[in-house]
Amino acid sequence: MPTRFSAILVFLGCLGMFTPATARAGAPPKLPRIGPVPTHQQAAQAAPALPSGYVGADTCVTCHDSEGKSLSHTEHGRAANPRTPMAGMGCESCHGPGKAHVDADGDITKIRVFPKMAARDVTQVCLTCHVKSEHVNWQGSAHETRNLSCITCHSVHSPKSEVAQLKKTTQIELCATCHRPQVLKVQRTAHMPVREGKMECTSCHNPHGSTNQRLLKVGNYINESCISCHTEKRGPFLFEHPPGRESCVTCHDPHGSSNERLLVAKLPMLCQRCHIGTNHPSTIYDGAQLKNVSIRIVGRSCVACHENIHGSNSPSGNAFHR
Amino acid sequence: MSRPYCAVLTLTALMLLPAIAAAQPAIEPLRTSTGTVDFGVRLTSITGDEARNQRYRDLRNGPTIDRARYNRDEGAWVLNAGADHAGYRDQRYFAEYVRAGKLKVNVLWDQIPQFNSAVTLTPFTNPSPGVFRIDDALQRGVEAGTLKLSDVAATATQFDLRSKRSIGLVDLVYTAAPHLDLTLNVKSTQRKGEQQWGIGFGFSNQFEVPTPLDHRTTDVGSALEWANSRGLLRVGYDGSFFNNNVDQLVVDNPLRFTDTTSATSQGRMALWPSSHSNMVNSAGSIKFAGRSQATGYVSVGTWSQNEPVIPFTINPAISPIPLARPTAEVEARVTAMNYVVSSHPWNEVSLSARFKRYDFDNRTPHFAVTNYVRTDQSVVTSLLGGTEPLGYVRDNFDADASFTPRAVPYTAFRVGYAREEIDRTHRYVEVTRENTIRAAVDLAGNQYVSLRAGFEHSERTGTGLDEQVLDEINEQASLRQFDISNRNRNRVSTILQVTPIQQLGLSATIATGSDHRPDAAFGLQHLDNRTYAFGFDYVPREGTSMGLTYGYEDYKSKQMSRQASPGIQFTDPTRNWFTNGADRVNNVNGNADLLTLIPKIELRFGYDFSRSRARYDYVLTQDTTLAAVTQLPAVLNELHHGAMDARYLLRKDVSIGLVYWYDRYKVEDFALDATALPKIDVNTGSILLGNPYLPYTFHTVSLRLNYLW
Repeated sequence: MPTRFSAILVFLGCLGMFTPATARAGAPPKLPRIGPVPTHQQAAQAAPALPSGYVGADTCVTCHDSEGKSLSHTEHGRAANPRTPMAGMGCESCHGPGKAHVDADGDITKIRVFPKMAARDVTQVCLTCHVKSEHVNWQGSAHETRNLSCITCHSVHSPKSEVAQLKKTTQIELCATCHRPQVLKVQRTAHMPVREGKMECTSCHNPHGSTNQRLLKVGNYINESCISCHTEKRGPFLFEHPPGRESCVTCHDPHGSSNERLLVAKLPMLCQRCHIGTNHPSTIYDGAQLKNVSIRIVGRSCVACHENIHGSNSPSGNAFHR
Repeated sequence: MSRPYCAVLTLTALMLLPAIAAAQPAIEPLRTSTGTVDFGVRLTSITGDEARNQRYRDLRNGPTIDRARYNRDEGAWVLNAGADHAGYRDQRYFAEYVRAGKLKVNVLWDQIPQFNSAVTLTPFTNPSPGVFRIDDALQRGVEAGTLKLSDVAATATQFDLRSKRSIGLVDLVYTAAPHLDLTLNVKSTQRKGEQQWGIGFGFSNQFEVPTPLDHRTTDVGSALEWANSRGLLRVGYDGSFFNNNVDQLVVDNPLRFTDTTSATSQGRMALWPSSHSNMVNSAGSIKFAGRSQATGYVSVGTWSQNEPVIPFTINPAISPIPLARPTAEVEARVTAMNYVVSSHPWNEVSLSARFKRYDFDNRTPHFAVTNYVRTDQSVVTSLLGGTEPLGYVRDNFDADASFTPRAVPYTAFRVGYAREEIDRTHRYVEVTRENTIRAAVDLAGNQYVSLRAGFEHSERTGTGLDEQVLDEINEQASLRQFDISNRNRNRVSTILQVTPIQQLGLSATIATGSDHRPDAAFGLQHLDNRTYAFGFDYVPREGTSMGLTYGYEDYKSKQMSRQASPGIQFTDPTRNWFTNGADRVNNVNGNADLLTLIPKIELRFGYDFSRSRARYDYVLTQDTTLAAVTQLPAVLNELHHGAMDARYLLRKDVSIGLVYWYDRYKVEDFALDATALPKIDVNTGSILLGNPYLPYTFHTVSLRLNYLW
């Protein structure tokens, strides 16, 4: 990979290529157009007649101008994409036929107002289009059964995030609304690179539902999620460490820990929860042992010797020494 | 500042000058722009541990290009591209091209550094990957008694303990027909560098080396998906190929130069074997009457590795032991299924049921081991006669019913039942079954109050307990390993949000959990946790907001053991002892955004504080025959992070900014801090890498110029 200096030069060069000619020439930059919203006359002239009960987006924006403008800057407003609301019935694709609402001078009971709808009714509307890939497993998922709807987390008209139209600026801020204990753990000394910006909640989880436990998005079981990045631990190995093979979270807390390597307890105490046999596994490693600098409490403790703790491919590896 | 950096800054200014000079200096409100980039310079002052605060990032001094975003929107297609931390170890580049309704391509290059220590020391030399040597004269001297291990340690040289994960990803979705998508993704992850690694040559002799990391994982996925508003059908393939270029570790024993049948001059360890996984999957869903949907998913495939098996020992003085076979021949057939049926037959009622099976069928042939070589020094009889290819079948069933009464709008009451059954091989509890009942109330949609509360009670029991297995491996027969022991669990959580006025939000989270293992005479018996968090958010007007949250976490554990040598002590209850673990954490998070308080100036402040204090206290029985214990000191970790971000709008498309980060970490760890590891030869028989947990203070200042176009 390039050094800092050459990488910066390359990037500057690309920047020069893509800076629009208008900016260099001095003309004021134009607002990006994401699918033109036709005027009333254009719609009347160019578009086919609206079905009964529909009034068209141009009628909606005569009162809801700010919502129209905000939508035009999002994917929902991209008329060029045939799957978007704006390519279909416009505002009424989601909010339903608007004629009754218009005729009743804006009576909100005559149209779908999402914040006032039951959660599952909101979701039914969104799922008429969002049916693929990461949304497939929404029905029956943990969030759905807790009566969350799409607008619990997303905002169609006034998103705050850079991607995914979230109601908060960042994912972690949003998820912390309900999952505060997990978010607090990110501040611990042993943590995944979430607060450094290299990972976020959806690096591991799919909040829309998944085939895995705990809404993990990769694989079909907890371990498959972990080994999607930590593949060296996949094995399988000749000698397995059973609690690890059954579940990584037996020993590790993936959200964060005050203990080394995201362990749920400090060594040797964690190992001594399962290893009670004679001699050194069952020894009390107290202050006296510490003073004698017993290697079984100082430093990496048990894994200083039992280093291949996730499993070993060595024929002498039954105790994970080799 | 070095010459290259000056040249970069000059070049930057020259490139931007025409654009800035030519733009009209009109007074207009900010408009959406199609690009943004921060040019800047960063200075970091470090006291203490250079590595920990840069564990996953690069805060070195120098020029910066950051938060660059480019958007080009032509209606029918859109290109988004961006770069963060360009030129630094944590740099990231991405691009996305979307042709509306036809094609979507994502490309990513991401580097995640891992900086473990800047004070690491090792006397080992590294003549080839995975081989670590000590000077022969030193080995001879220590063996002869003319030298000590401290003489070996004195030859150590310092180095940075680092590694880096480099990820390249291409993700493509092609819409072949209105409802038909073809997806393809390829991800290559390379990990290079070094990792702290231990090797033992006896009960009191441990040595650490910086074991090399040089492996690559290539993941390939493809799928064909047809979906419309009524249903979906998907078939796919996922392959994962892990290749490790250094699969063995050979390390000199600093204590010995000659080999005997009870002592070795070097040790050899198997590192992670190269492996691969191939899975095919199929999924389908269909909607039917009563607002119902059924979804099914099946995945089948194999995980395998067939690496050459290294000999039992590298010690030539020990007679070679024949291998059961030359290669590992490890294979597990993995089958996963997931079926969900959900229905919303009436407005007030919602039902769902899910069945999930995960079958890890380990088909590895038994690798017979009669005798093996412990730490390359002694031939030992195997207690179990060889490998135990662990496998399991995990079945989960969940059912939930939710009721939303008309009389209480926006409120849902939920009851649910879950059952997990795991049937496993090669563990002393063959089958565990866990039944869970749960209830929850969710009140949302009210502009003043939102409440989510839930309760869960689980009981896990095991069958097929074979205490003889424990006896064979010299464990107490009444030990219950906590991941398969009988267990009663209760969990309660409550989240309350109150918005008395539109500008003010108050929140409270309370979560408690309790695990009790009634049959665990030895092992983990209790595990309790409590979390409380209280906070507020205040947004008096657009562009001004502030918030503060306080959180408290409390974790307690109790486990029992018996300190015993083989023989009569093994059954002597006066030798029992308990460990009471307690971990308390206080967190404070605050933020304030003042974006419109002062014209043309945007101010952002943030503060995070986390302090954890853990104790492991030993308790002896009243009739104890053990010596009195000396309690361990508490383990303390304290982290402060403060941030200030100020931006002054020179004009609508140009701003200058100042960012200041303050990070301070304090640690007291009886096993891992500088008092525990003052030198690499921590005792007369061990040499470690000398990378203790150290406190640090970082002051990071960034000046930046932000340009929008």
